[in-house]
Amino acid sequence: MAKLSVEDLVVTYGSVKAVRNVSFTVEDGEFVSLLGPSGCGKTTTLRCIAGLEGSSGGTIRIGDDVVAADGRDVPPEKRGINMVFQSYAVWPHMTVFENVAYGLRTRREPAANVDAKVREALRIVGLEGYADRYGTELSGGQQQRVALARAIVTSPRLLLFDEPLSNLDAGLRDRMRYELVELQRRLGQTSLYVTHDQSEAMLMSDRIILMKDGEMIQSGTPQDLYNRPATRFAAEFIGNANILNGVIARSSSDGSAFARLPGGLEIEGQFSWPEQMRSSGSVLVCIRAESIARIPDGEGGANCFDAEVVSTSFLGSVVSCMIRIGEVTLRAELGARRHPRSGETIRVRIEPDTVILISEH
Amino acid sequence: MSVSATAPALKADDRPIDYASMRRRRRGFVLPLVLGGLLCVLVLVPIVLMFVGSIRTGTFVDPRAQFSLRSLTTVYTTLPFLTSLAVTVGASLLVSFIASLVGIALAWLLARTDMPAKGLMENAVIAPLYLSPFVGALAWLILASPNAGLLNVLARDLFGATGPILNVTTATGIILVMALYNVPYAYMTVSAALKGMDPSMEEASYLNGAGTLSTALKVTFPVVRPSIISAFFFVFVLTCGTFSIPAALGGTQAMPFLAVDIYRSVATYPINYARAAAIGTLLFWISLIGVAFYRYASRIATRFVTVTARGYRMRLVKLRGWQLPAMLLIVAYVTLAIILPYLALLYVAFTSFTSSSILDATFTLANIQSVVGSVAVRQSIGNTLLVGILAPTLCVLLGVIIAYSIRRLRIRGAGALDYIAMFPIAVPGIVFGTGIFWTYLMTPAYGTIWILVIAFVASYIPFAYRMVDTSIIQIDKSLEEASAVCGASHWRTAWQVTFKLIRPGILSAWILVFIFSVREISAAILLASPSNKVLSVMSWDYLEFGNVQNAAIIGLLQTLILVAGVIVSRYVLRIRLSQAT
Repeated sequence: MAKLSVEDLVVTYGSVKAVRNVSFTVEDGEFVSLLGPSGCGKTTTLRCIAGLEGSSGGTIRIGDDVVAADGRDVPPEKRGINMVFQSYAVWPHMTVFENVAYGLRTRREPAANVDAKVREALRIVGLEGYADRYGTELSGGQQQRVALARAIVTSPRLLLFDEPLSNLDAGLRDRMRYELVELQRRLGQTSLYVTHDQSEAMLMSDRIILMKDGEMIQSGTPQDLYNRPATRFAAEFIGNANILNGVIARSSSDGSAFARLPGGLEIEGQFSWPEQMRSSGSVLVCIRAESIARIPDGEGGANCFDAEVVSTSFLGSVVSCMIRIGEVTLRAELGARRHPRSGETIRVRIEPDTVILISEH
Repeated sequence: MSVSATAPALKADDRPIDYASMRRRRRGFVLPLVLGGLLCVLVLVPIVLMFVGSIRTGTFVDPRAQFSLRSLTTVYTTLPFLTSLAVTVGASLLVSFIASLVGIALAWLLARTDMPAKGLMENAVIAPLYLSPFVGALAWLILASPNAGLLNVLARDLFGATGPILNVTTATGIILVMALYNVPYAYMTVSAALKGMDPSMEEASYLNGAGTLSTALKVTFPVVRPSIISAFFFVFVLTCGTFSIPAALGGTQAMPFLAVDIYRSVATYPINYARAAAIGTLLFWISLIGVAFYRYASRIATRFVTVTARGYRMRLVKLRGWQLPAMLLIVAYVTLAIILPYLALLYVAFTSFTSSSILDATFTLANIQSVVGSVAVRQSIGNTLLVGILAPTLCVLLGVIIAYSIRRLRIRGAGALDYIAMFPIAVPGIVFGTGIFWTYLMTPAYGTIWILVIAFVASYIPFAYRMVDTSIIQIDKSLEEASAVCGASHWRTAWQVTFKLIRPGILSAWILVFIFSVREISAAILLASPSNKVLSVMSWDYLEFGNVQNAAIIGLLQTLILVAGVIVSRYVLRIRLSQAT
C-alpha cells in the first residue's frame, strides 16, 4: 500500500484537453472518489494513473516511484497496482480460480502460495465453491466479485475502481456499495474510485474530488462538499439545491450576511468559504430543498416566511413541493405526515446556517 | 380465474377479438410452398441429381445408361482417388494453417498496435478478396514457372543463376499461392473478433502484471479462439473446393487435387460424367464436415462476444523498434499478393512475346488490340457483364424475399427455408457445377448463358440472404410499428421504412455477389460451351493452349471489371465492403 500523488496532470487528444492540471493526493489507506458528470475527465484521469492512457504532462507518483512524468509513462504491468473494471473483464476462457490466480502466476509465485491466496481472496468476496466455474456461467454480481478478488489478491499498492457498480441492478448495487466499503476498510487498501453517482461517492468515500470539463472543481469530505459547496456546479451536483441570484444587503464579519432576492425578499445566509466573503455585490444563494421546514402558522424568527404551495408531488417519505415566497419559487421537501395541498398558504423556516452564499469569481 | 379479479366479467357476445388466429390465417401456405419449391429446385435438386448421377453409367439422356456402383467404388476405394483425397485434405489443412497464422498476425498488428497508416494497410490486406485467385495463380505462373518465369529469368540475367530458383508449379508452390489468396478471409474473421472484444479484458491482464506478449498469448488469442477456429475451417472448406489455383499451377502433375480431378473427368478423354459426380460426392462430404466444424466454432464465437459501449480509446501496443519489421510483413504480403502479380501481368500484356530479356523488352499495344478485337473475346466480355449483372440481381432479389418472409411475414416453415437457403455454403462451386450439369443437361438451358446465371444464383444465395437478413435483424421493429400506427399500410411500411433502411445491406450483398460471379471459374468451366464462355473460362482456355500472353490480357480485362465494380460501390454508392463478408 502506498500513497498516490498526482501533480498538474494534463491529457490532450489533438487539440482537445481532456484533463487540465489536475492535482491531488490519496493518502495511504484512504478511499477517494473522482466524481463528476460524463465527459468530465474522471475516467481519463484514472486510466492515466493505471497507465492505460498516456499522459501529456504532469507527474504521477505511486509510493516513492514516479510512474508518469512529462508525457513519459511506465507501462501498466510495471506499476504494481490493480483495477476493477466497469465491464468486469472476467476472462471467459478461464475458470474463476484461474482468473484470480492470473496475477500471482504472472509473478511466478509458488503454486501452494497461489492456491492459498486465491482461496483466501475468494473467501473474502464470498465466492467459495465457485472456483471451478467459468466466468460466463456467473451472474453480473458474481462476475464483479471475481473481478474484485482478482484485483485484491495481488496486494496492489493502489486499487483503482472504474465505475464498478454501474452495470449492476439497483438492489444489488446498494448492497455491493456497503460490502465494498467494508472490505476496503478491512484491508486498508489505498483506493481511487470513479463514479458519476453522487450518492455512491458520498456513501463510500473518505474524500471526494469533484470534476468538471477536465478540471478539479472542489475536493473534500462528503460532509464538506454537501455543507460548503464552493461553486454553483458543486451545489447543483451534490444534493437538491435551489440556486438563486441575490445581492448582498448587509454582512457581518463572522461570515453571515443578508442577501436580497428578486422581489425584495431578504434572506439570511452564510458564506461557507472565508475567501468568498464580501459586503456588497451579487451572490448565489443556495437553499437545499431538504432544509426548508414547515412550522406552525404565525411563528416568527430569522428566515421565516409565508409561502404559497404551487404544486405537490407525493414521494412516500417526503412530499416534494413547489412553493412561492413573494416572487421566488423554490423546491422544498416537506414531511409527508402533515402534507400541504396546492393553493394552501403555509409558514416555512429556512435555517440561516443552511443557506449558503457563494460568490463565483 | 383469480387473476382476472379486477377485470370486468366478459359477456358471451363481446368476446375479445382473437388476433392470434387472425394472424395465423394470414400466414398461409402459398408463399412458403412457392419459396420452398423454388429453393429446392435451385439448391437441393442439383445435389440430389449429382448423387443419382454417381450411380449411373451415363447421363440421364443416354438411353443405354443404367444404375451401377462402379464409379462410386472406383472413386471411394481405389488408389489414385484416395491419394487425391488425402492430398486435398492435407494440403487444405496446411493452407488453412498458414493463412490463419498470417491472418492472425496481420489482424493483431492492425487492431492492437500503433502501426502507422492503418486504414491504408487494412485496405491493402483485404484487397485480394476483390480479385480473382485464378488470375493471381496465372500471374504466379508467369512470375515463377521453372523456365520462363520472370523472376527466374531475371535472376539468370542479373546474377547469372543457373536453373530455376523459384518453382511455383510444385506442391509447395500451389499450397503457398493458395494460402496467399486465403489470408484475407482469416484476417477479416479474426480482425472482427479482435475489434469486438472488450478492451478491458486485456487491460486487466496488463494491470495484473502481464506484458504485451504474455497478454496476447494468454488473454487476447484465447478469448478470440472460437473465431480463429471458425476462420480456419472457413478457409479449409474454401480451399478443398478450389479448382483455379491447383489447375493453373500444373494440375495433376504437380499435386493431385479432387476439384481438378472432377474437371479432368469431364474435359479430357475418356470423358466420364459418372466419375465426376462420384468425386463431387466425395468433395461434398469433406466440405460438409468442414462446415459442421465451422458452424460449431461460429456459434461459440458469438457466445463469447463481449462488446461494450465504452467510448474510450483502446490502449495501443507501442511497437517501437518492431514497427519496421511489422510494416515489412504487411508490405511483403501486399507485394506478393497484388503488386508483383499485376506487374507481371501488365508486363506480359504490353511486351512483345519475342523479347529475349526483361531489361530490354519492347513495349507494344499490339497484343491488347488483337485480343480485344477478337469476336470471341468481345462475346465473352458481354457474357461476363450479363452474368455479372443478372446473377447478383436475381440472387439479391431472392435473398430479400426470403429474408423478409422469414423475419417479417413469419411464414410457416421459416426454419426449413433458412436451412435450405444456407445449404449451398457447404457446396464448393465445382461440386455445384457438377450437380447443375446433371440437372440441366436435358433442358434447353444447357449450354446457354442462363445455366451460369442459375448456377451462380444457387451458389451465392447464402451470402445474399444472410447479408440482407442481418440488416433486417438490425432494424428496430418499433420503427416499422411507428409507421403502422401513423396509418401506413403493410406494404407502404415495407416500402417506405424497411426497404429504405436495409438498402445499404442490399447494395453490399449485390456487390459481393457481383464480385463472386465475375471471378467465378470452377462451375463456369464445367458448364462452358462455345456460346456461354465468360472471361475466366476464356483465360483458362488460352492457358490450356499455352498462350499465356492472351490468358494474362483476359485476366487483366476481368480485373478491370472487378475493380470498376468495387470503385463504383465504394466511392459512388459508399458501401463499406470490409463489413460485407
